[in-house]
Amino acid sequence: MDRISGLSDELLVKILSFVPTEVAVSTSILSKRWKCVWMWVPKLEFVMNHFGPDISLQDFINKNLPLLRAPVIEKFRLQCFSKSFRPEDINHWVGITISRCIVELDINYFSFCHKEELAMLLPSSLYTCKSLVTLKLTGHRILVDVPRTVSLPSLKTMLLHEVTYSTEDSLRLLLSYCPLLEDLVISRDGNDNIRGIVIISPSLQRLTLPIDGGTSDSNEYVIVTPSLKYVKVKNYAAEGFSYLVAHMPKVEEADIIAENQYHLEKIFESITSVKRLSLCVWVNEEKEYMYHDGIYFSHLEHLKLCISFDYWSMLLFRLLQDSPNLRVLKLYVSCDDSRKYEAGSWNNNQSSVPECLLESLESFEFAGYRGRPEERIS
Amino acid sequence: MSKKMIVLKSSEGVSFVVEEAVARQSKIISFLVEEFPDRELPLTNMTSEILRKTIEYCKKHVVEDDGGGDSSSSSSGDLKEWDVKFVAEIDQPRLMDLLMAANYLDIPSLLDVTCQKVADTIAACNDEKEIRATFNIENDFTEEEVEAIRMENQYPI
Repeated sequence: MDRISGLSDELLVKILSFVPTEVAVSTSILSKRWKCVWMWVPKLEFVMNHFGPDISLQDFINKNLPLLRAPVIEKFRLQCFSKSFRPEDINHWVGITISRCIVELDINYFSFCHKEELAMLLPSSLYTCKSLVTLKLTGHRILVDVPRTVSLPSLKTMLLHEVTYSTEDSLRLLLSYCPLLEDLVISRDGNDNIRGIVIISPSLQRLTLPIDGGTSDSNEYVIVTPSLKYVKVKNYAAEGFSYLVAHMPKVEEADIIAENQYHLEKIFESITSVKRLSLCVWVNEEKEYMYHDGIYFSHLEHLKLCISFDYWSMLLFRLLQDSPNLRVLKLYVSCDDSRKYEAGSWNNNQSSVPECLLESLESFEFAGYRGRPEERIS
Repeated sequence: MSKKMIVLKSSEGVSFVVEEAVARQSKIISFLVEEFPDRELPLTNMTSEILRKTIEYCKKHVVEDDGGGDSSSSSSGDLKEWDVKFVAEIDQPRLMDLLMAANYLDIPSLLDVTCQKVADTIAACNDEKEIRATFNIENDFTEEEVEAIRMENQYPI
């Protein structure tokens, strides 16, 4: 027998788990030795690139998924258009993977239109799946319909990208029993049925979240995540909704996009322990107020600030004053050329040079500046 | 302080003197040095060439724990690049030997790297005929059997 066919079943399965699913399936006609090897591969990935219904792939999955011999399905990834498969088929497939101790589930159900098509419900057993470590759901046709009792004792990573929630309370319920959750990424669709975002997670370490008004007028955000180390917030909202972010004493890195000072101040209050801060502020109002006194970033070492609004130099000056241990400062000009920027000018009345400029700053970088029109060589 | 050395002996009887920390990346060797300290370890199913290659890999991947946090000589990105080059330079029969050595000695990262390389070779083939030719796999199916499996496992492209 040739060398590769002489390897143990275990090694052949390991090798096939590194190839795309269609290649693994195609090895079944190599020889008798290979006929059933692919059925032990614990990983299935189907990525569709065309819009229409795909009866043949549907038949293939319908027939072969129940026959798979791997005792644990480590990964099931399906990326398709909503017309490719019927919602009930996908529901059925996900149900099979759950009964086979699925570890990573990644469903991307893409649809262009908002109405007409049926919503896709996932099996309720998904919300009590003991083995699930990673859950990624993408697409507004996916309806997250969470039962009263949720238990995802192994879940560490969750991505909810523009899904729709069945009730106002679905997201809070979903997060209510994920004791190991470390990484949460949420992005929202305008019609996702929820007004408030409630994230209460003692274990969460990384959070990426848009804070915006969605389509409704009143939104509320409650974020209680005491173990958070990394936070990325995109804040596109106007004032006028309730906003509670508990102090995050362990935050080391923050990436913030904010559209008004009130929210910036709120976020600043919760992340004073930050070591690396990336900041992009878009404020149109003629306000020189940045944030209240008493907010100090005594651990801040790296600051990256986007020159994106008229009063950026005031914000920079405040941050330099309030960050006595800053080592690295990066300023960059946003690529949005249509905006006019006030040239930064230090106010001579400022009584002292910020401490970090004298004591700790090691590196300064300035990027993206393309010159004023009069400075450019025509 | 001199580092503790151990002796590994290939199937041809050639002895290789290796730092214990390097050799301990193999879970089997790690176990054997606990059980039989100060003995040379015979690896009768490994040729000198493959043993030398395996040691080269382990030397590159050893995590030096005698210094501070940054004592490891290579960053993970550099290591990955080095791994790709390491397996790219090996011809297929020796790659199989190395894969089996990694399996036998229980060196998980080397097993991953070698399996990935075999997988990439399979995935780069255009059809099953090319896979068979690349790995010298003999087709022991009749034409009817091939057709039957093709129908059964029809993977729609």
